[in-house]
Amino acid sequence: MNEPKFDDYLREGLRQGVEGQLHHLEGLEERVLEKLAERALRRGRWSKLWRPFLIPVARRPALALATTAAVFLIIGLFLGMGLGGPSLGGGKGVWFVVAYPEAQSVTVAGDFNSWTDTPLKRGKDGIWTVRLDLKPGRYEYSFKINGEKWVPDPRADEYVKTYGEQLNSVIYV
Amino acid sequence: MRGILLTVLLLALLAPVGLLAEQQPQVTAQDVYDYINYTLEVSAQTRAVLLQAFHKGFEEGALAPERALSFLRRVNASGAPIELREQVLLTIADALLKSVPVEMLLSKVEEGLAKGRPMDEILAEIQERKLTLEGVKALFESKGFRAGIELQIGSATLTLSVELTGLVITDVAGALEDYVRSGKDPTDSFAVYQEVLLRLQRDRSIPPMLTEWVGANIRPEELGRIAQEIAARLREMR
Repeated sequence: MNEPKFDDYLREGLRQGVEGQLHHLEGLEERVLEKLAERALRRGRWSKLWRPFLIPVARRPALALATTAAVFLIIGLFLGMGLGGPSLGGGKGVWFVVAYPEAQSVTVAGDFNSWTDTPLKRGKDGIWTVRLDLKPGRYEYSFKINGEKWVPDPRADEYVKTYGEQLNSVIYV
Repeated sequence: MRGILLTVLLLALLAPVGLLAEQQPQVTAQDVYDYINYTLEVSAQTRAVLLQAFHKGFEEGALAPERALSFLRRVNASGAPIELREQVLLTIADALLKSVPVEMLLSKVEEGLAKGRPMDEILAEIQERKLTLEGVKALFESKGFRAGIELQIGSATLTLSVELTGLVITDVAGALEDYVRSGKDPTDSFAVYQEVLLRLQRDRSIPPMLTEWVGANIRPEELGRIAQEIAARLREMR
């Protein structure tokens, strides 16, 4: 007698629980479809670029080979160019920087390039820069302004006298 | 499409060839001898000395042929009187024959030429510095510091190469020269000694254990004596 009554209570309780949550399910299907469409749209812009590379190699072997070759070509060119700076021994990259807004040309010469002129590049506000790859060691050098005037580097590690009273800059790498 | 693919492929295959072609061909000792024999404007007697000296330098590994050739070309093209050019080259040759490191001397000649200094001034500069290098080399050799030997420093051992001995001797000689030329007191042996050790410490091409060896084996008064000799020579030059 008691058992059917208990089942009724249980069934009624579950029904009330489900009905209480029904408002959460309203429009669920539409919301899911909307989210899926958004994701597809976001990925679509990039997937157009990547699609050729995602095609299995077996279907486009020439394209895959050419892509690989292009990657190697770019890496090779970067290595060949010393990654943006002249290489004077394959060492640490050292920046030479000097401010000469009025100068027409600035070069640096020193022990590291057998006292030949390496040009600096003019940047904003007349700041001249160049990056050289130098092996560890001690180097004397000097800047040359407009191809004639030798000046020391204000950022040097130290200065030494050379040829009478002239000053050479010194850098420790 | 196929044309573009083939072009990219071809470029990638040719790039290493292009990069290799861009590099300078390797200079050999024979190239230097040929230059001395056929191009360099010097007397027959000087030519013979230069050939002997550069041969010794290459044999000992004191100098690379590429470095030698670029230096000889630079001196030859300087436009200075031939006698002075010969004197400069004979100073370098004498250093090579005595196994004195030459890098500082080559660099001072190149610096002088770049800055348009007269060749007689360049000659005086390197003759003075060569004597300092000789003095430092003799001092270090008297303590057993020479290429090819094994230095025992504490529990560690280091085999000295020609390059390393050259770097140390050049650094010590350079520190002594700079100390005296900056107007500091050459009779203050301890200050001279400290300057030399500081130079070695700061130069990262010198292993720290070699600086330690110099500190333990070379006495301040020995370096002070060389500094005073430099000061005397510089007084004579002025």
